Amino acid sequence: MANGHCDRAELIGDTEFARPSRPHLRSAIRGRMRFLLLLAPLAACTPLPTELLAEDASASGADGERGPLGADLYTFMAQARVTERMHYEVVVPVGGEAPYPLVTMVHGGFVDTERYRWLTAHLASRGYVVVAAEHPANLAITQIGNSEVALSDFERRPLADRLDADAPAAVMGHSLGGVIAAMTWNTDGRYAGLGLLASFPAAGTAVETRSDGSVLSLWGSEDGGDEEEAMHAVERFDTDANFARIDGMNHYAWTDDASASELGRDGVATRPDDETRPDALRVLDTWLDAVLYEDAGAASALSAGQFANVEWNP
Amino acid sequence: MIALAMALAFADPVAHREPGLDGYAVHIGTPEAGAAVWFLDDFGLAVGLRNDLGAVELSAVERRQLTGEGAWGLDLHGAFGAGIGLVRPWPYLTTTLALHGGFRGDKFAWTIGPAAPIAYTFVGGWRARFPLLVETFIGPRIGKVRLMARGAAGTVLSPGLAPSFAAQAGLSVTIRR
Repeated sequence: MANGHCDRAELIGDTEFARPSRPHLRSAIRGRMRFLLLLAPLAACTPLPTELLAEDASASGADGERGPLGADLYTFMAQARVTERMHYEVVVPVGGEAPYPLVTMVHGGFVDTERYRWLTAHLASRGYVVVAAEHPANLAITQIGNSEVALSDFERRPLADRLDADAPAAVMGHSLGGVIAAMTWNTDGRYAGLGLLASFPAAGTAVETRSDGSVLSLWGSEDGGDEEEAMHAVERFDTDANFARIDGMNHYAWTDDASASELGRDGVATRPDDETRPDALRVLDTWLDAVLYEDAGAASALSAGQFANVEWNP
Repeated sequence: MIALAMALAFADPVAHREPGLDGYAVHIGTPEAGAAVWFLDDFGLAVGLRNDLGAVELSAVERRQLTGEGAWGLDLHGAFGAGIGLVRPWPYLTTTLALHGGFRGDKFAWTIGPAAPIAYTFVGGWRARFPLLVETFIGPRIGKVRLMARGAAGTVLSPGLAPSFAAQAGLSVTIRR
């Protein structure tokens, strides 16, 4: 099943569906019936991908920079909670040697997953499969389990062979998505890493009860949110948890196409996104490599905490 | 007394829970839209479709008046049905229990109560949804036509998943036989 597209076996199980050998009316009807039977599961098939990034062998893959792998976007539908339909995106690395570790991304409140594709493509180019579920009204709080539904659905698809189910995984979220990511991390041992992007866990999430794993909180110095609470939240973790303040970055620098309304209630970024994002990604990449690839050099860099334009555990 | 109804309801059969329904009903809302027809006083059938095209369903409905004489009273709705998810085509069964109390007069109706439209499947592993909603219907009757607004809120429990929040709203038109 090249590129994870549907094959006949996935569609129809063990049943063999042959084209009618004679132009006979009964055979023709039978053939159409079989065709109709094939239609129903089509929604479960792997659609054609959209290329977000082409492979680039010249890419250094240094922390903060894209990797040499390409990034393909797939959009799937899943059957959730028996009767519901939900969409989710998966961005997979192209080229290189699969399988790759999982990063689950949870979008912020009223921000759709498309606006994080710059980030998910970046991560895929560095060798991570990124799964991002959608939610009603773009509010992850309404259906906290959607990431789990998306991952469960994805794992039964042929494309899941790109995913290393045995490797450590990370869950991260932006803003409200970070609140949900923290809840997920707190209860799902599959996630070794929790990435908080301009976010912090809710007071009711007992993050202090988990003593393993690693947490990274990235916060822009110009974020319109409550930085003090974000810093204090990091202290609640009973595991390795670090706080990084990105100079000049605001809340919506994590998203593309921020609206005037969003920017109006955010702080004013003092540096452009194309400067602050690489600074933030440098930390994020280092952390992911340390946690998911268990890269000793990355772990050492984290311990040193020396990142340009970043205050480390201020 | 047993009646027979046919309805376009949804994965959560809403239309047949409208207070005082004794004829035909069409319901449009979120997350469901549909219609219902009662042939007898307190028994019927319903078929429906979620408006996210997530599932279609056929249900049989029974309604019993537990207490009350005249317009004021308390009704128990029970429905049992079968459906199919349209994304991953899996069959499922549904059971709905709803308790509605309130006023169902000739010119106006308002009821409120809990509803639990449960769905479960055994295909590809056991899955279920256990919504627990508080819903209300309110609206006037003009001749044989009753206009009803519906609002509902609650939680949906699904084994293995965190609870999700449900907020539903809709409008319906019912026509008395």
